[in-house]
Amino acid sequence: MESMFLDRRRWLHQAGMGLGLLGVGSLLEAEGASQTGRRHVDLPHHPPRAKHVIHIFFNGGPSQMDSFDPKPMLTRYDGKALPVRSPETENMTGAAFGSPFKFKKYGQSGIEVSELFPHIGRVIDKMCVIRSMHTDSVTHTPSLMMMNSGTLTQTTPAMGSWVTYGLGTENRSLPGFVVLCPGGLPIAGPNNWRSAFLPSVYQGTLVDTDNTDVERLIADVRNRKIGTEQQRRQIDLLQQLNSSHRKRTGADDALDARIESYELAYRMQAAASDAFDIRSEPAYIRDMYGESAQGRQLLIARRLVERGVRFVQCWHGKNQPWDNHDKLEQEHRFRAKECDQGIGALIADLDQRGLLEETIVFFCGEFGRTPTTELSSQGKSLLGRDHNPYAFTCCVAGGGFRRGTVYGKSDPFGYRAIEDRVHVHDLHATILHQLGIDHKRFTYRHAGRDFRLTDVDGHVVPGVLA
Amino acid sequence: MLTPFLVHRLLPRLLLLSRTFCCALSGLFFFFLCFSLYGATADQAAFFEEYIRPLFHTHCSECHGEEKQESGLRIDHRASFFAGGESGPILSADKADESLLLEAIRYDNEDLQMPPEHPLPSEAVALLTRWVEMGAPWPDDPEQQGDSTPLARMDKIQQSHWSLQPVIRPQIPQVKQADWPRNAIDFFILARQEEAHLAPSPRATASQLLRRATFDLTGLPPTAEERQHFLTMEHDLQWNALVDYLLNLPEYGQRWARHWLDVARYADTKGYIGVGKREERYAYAWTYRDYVVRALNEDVPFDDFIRHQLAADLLELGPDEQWKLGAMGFLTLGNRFIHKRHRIVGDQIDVTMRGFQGLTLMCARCHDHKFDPIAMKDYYALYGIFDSSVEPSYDAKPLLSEEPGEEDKQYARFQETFNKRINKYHNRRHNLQKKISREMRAYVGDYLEYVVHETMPAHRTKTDLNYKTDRVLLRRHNLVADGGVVLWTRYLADREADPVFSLWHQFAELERESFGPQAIKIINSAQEVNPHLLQVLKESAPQSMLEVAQAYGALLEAIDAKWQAILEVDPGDDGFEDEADEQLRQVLYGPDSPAVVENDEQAQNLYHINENNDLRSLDQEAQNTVVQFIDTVPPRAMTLTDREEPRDAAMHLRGDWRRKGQKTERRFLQMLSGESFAAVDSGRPYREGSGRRELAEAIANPNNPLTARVIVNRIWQWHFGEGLVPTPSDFGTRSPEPIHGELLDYLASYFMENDWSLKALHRLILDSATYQQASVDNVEKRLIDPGNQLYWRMNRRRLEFEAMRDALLAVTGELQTHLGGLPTEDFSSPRRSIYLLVNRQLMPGVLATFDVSVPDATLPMRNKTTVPQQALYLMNNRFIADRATEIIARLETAQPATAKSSDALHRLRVSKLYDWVYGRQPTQAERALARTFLNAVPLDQPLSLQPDEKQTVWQYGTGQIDPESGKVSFTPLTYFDGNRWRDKERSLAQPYLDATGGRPGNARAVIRRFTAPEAGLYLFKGPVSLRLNGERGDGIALHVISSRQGELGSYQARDKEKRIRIEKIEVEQGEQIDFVVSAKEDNRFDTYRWPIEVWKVEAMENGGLDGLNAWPSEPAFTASMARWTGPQTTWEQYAHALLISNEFMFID
Repeated sequence: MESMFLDRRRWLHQAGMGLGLLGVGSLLEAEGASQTGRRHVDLPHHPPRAKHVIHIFFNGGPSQMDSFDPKPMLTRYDGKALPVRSPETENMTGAAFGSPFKFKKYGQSGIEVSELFPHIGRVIDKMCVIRSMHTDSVTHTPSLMMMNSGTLTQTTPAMGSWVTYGLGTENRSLPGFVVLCPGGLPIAGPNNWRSAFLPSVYQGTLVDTDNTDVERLIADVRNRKIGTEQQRRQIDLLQQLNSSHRKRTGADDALDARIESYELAYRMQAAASDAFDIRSEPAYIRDMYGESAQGRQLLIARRLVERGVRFVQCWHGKNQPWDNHDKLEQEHRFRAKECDQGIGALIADLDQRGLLEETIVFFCGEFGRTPTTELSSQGKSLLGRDHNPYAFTCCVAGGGFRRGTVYGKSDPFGYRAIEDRVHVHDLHATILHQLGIDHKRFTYRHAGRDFRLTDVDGHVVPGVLA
Repeated sequence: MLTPFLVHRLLPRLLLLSRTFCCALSGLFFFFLCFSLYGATADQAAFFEEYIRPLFHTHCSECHGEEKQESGLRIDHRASFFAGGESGPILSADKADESLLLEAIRYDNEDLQMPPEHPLPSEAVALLTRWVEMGAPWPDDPEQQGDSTPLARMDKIQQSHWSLQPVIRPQIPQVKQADWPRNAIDFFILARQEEAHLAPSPRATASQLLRRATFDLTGLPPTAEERQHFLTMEHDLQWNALVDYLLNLPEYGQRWARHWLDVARYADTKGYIGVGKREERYAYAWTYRDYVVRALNEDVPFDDFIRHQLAADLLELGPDEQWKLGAMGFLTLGNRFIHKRHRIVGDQIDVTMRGFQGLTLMCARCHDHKFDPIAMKDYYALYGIFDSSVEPSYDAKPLLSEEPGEEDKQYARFQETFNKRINKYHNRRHNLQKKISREMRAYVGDYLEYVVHETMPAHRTKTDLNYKTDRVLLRRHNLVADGGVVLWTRYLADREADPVFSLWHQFAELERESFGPQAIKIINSAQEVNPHLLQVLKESAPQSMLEVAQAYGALLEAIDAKWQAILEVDPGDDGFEDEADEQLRQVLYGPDSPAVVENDEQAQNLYHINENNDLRSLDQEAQNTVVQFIDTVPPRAMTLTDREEPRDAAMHLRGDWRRKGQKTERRFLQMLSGESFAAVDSGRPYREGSGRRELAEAIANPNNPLTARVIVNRIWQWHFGEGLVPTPSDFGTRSPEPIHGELLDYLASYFMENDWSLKALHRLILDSATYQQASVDNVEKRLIDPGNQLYWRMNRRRLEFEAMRDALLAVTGELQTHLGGLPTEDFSSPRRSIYLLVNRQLMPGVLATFDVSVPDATLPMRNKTTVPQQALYLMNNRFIADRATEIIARLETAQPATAKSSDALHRLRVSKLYDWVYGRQPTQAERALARTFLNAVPLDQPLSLQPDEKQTVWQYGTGQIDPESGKVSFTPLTYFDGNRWRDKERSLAQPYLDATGGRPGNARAVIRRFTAPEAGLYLFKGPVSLRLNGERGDGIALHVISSRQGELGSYQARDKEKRIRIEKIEVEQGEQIDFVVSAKEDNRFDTYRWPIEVWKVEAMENGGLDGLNAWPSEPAFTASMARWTGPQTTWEQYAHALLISNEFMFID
């Protein structure tokens, strides 16, 4: 009887992630989690085109000239000095370094993709290739922070935290922001997915996808000491204790939320095991993604999104695998081989399930690489490339992004983005826009200031949208 | 206002129009244009704000903004924009196309291309063109509307904003229900309720109040003895006695320190400090934690508490007051932000001002505060104060206890190691600075060339495009440092009338085209110029600024060579006799020469990145010694000391620390000082050392309107769950006057009248009828006031994580509450939660799940979320299951040897559990519930009880390696104690193995044995480290031995982490691989960690390995635990349910 008087909205607030059961709820949840920081805005600001995001992070910074931004001019200058002034980068670089990889036109769009990514090439018609990305720092950590949290420093929330905070999750049994990384941590570790001043529930839940064991993927997801049915009986006992306590003390949102959370948790034990268990996928799907950590993790990403997880971030691996200052040819070949099949499969798979329309999949590094070759301290070529924040490429598929399109241009050597430049802030603004969020109105008050993902900058880029 | 320029420019156009169209129309048009120019129509204003202003900001304001106006042009303000620059107005209204602005951004004109680095994106050019064509609408700048900024309205805000009004004890209001109030608080609360037609709830029951007060003041449940003692006595008397009793418990300080540590962003580590293996731990953060506990227990007046935390080093402390120095951890234990000075100081400002004053200053780092009358200058006034203090190195930090004597061998070893390392650092630093000085002189010509290149765009020539590359190359070889160019630039700027450099400045003014002839004129008419210089210039007849630089370079380098030659003959010489020579020598050796590198900060900018890293790691290594010997070194306080020469800070333009602006004198906030707040602070610059002491006094001043209000609000919040002011760290203009403003003022004045005593404040609050209300819901009242803002009941509160953990350990009888000391890293330790290590960088996931934030910044309050992950933890985590096991074990020792019947025993046990967990007896219904659950036959067993292949490949035992045959003797360990495999009989220093490592015995090695389930190519790897301070023991020996192939590898481990990796071993099915760890001389300090990964792999074409299957040791161990310890018994399951129930987790 008392529950009739429950303030439904407040109840929802406290229920945390469990809101999906109402299909809408997210927003209420976020407010409930912390009513102090958030300005009262109604989300979505406008009808959303996408509901989920998969961010595939080529951490270390892959080379745009060797992947999605062919530079025939650079090849012509191979071994010679570039005729342009080179901007300052981290290390000393020398002569032009033409791409050692061949490019080929793919699909109806005829977008050129290097031989490194044949599987991605096959789905290039589903993608928007932004060749004019740029960012603000020549070093890894600040650029990682920029890509993840929109500032060069590390004290603001990650994009995944912002998005789950704003939109919640649709699955009451899974975390809303999941971070997948095989074998260890990228540089700067958990700073990459922290919720900072947002409530800590919005921080990314890290899953080491080198583990194939579901129990190691999510903390405490299984009780080792009692069986599932017996545990149900134990929870029933607990809930009887709780409900008689509630009868004595009267209605209380917090009590109700907590009672409900045990039910959610009980279900989550099964749901999480299921979401991460790719053994239940048919063999042809597993083959499609390939038997590798990357393939496995991208397949998990699809399963998570399918189950309503809002934001999935897939790191290539620990440290910075794409940071190929030397021996770039071998290293890039190796890295690309690790993930190409999986990414191609993910995009095709999402599309065939009708999920691509509502899922933004994007991949890039924290910056690009120089068209010139990096020199050793003795001035010898290392056959690698230095960091280059002035131009890089980002590929985006799904979620209402234009298909089969190239957007923006870098200069003929790939040093600088020159046309339709897209800053990381702009990319963020555009992704939020597709999720129904106006990046300027989506703020959180902290330490006396209204913070947003795009800091004080960023514009939605209409040219990349369908 | 319409700028004269535009009127002038637009009029002809309008006149022309008026000739074409009719006069009336033109008037209308004029009106429209004027209108758009004055304020711009809403659409146009939006267009401007959306597209144009950001473009200017991003692309132009660096050179044409507030601090720099290249060519006299400034475009961040409307008026200055339209006024134009040295080339005149940049807009041409009659010919929009020919406006300088458009010409420049289109790169049409070779001499005028803006921005100089690269052209704007075409979209931006289109937008700007459209904007100019629209008539350049620019709405009035709000900053220019005199009184609209908070700063301009300072007086008004000072007079009207509630939190800035003097704290005056308000009149106690009248109420109708006069028999309810117990003290003044209740009159204020009840008066509000009566206005809203609400009435308070009845008083809570005695046992509820006992539990509420005990948790509230000590963070622990009441013990049976406490219940007995306080519940049997007369009601009110017992209450006062109870509160006194609780406030006197040492646990009070532990509980309330935890609250304050949130504000102080307490952690034991430095946060992310860069890539690589660096020491993250603070050796002494815990001394701050212990200070807070002690200060609270001793009820140190809060104003002193402030003084200690900001300036204990500057107070006159008696010999028995030295512990107060520990307070300064408040400023020094924040995140290190990769050692970025500006961020550390920023954090100190933030924690001080939000923590004590409820003022947010971070926005004033980049610009004047948008809402509060706090100028950017105020921020840098405080910046100077904190920046004028430095952290003494380890050995200069004050001791908090006696230094161990010579007889302490361990300490002697520490000192030896430390001195060796610190000397290495100092030597390296000294040598580097000498080397840099030499290079600054030897390459002075290069520096000057770069100065030309960097600072004189007009004198750059096409051929110097390669400069940048050259320079990078030089920098890599550490010949020319970026910082050096800056130093030379600065040096030159001050020398316009100098006999050596006056000519330099004259040359710089010349046009590039006519440089040669003009330069000759200057040279020929030069007066009072160094004769050597003149001669060189005459001979070289420079044709460009570049050649001037080269001439100067040659001259100065020659002088240096000459001087060096003299020094070789007479090292004591102090200068040339020849005046002209000496003038030149002074450039390189004079007291303000950039080449004289004597202090660390100057050198900082000149080190090559490798040198800098090198130095830092030497310093780190020395400081790390302290952490290595952490349980040997005596505790020291993390103080600051004032610099010998305190320094005012230059403003960081737009918050960018590299761009220095105007200097700002050290002083207090203007808003809280000067005329209006003369009693707080005069507003004059601080000149006593850094000024920290004066700052502390201004904050701790009873006339400061914020200090007392902010802390009493926090105390209220920690008692009631919500503050009277809902934004406890922001009392600025955006915090509306609180509903209970008068109560807040009453509490603040009461607090100050009672000598800033927190305990007095607790007593007042706890004694109020408001606090003592029941927490039961009431539907009618809830409809009127759903948020309970009027306190018609007590808020029910859930235990925060630390209190929950402590309470769990308390009811099982395990909790250890002794005071102080090093933090424990063992999360499952029975130590009170405040003594667990707080690692900023690596917080256990469970903390985030339970709303404990990463302490990167001061935390005003904790979030209160309820998420299923919390339930998962409580249902499934071993820590909770272990507590259930413990409480049942406690039951077994507590129960009488004989009971009349099993039923009676059953009743007794349930009663005991209720008594411990809830502090009451079960009802009949609850007894029935217990009986049903406990008597039912268990439904199923967990899967983990069945061994699976992944687990059973591992065995645990002890043994030895036969020195002759190299074979391993292996005896399985037989006893599992819930954590470790060991001998059943406990003995000191016995060998054992646990999930991640273990300890070898003195005579027996410990062996983790892997039996290969399938044949193939294998990889074994894993990091080995000693868990205790490795340097103290003699280390361990490791052997990896195959039953078929013999030894695969052998290693030693002691003070460094060792990564073991054995690749590409062909292994047959059933082959045993033994991972053997043995002690050397003895097994003291030999506890080690060695999680082993065993992989079956295949080789890939690039030479890498791809994993096919893995049998990691740690998860196999963990997964098997249930099998070794057995399933949870029904009694344990029952106790587990009680421990995670709402009645236990919530305080009524």
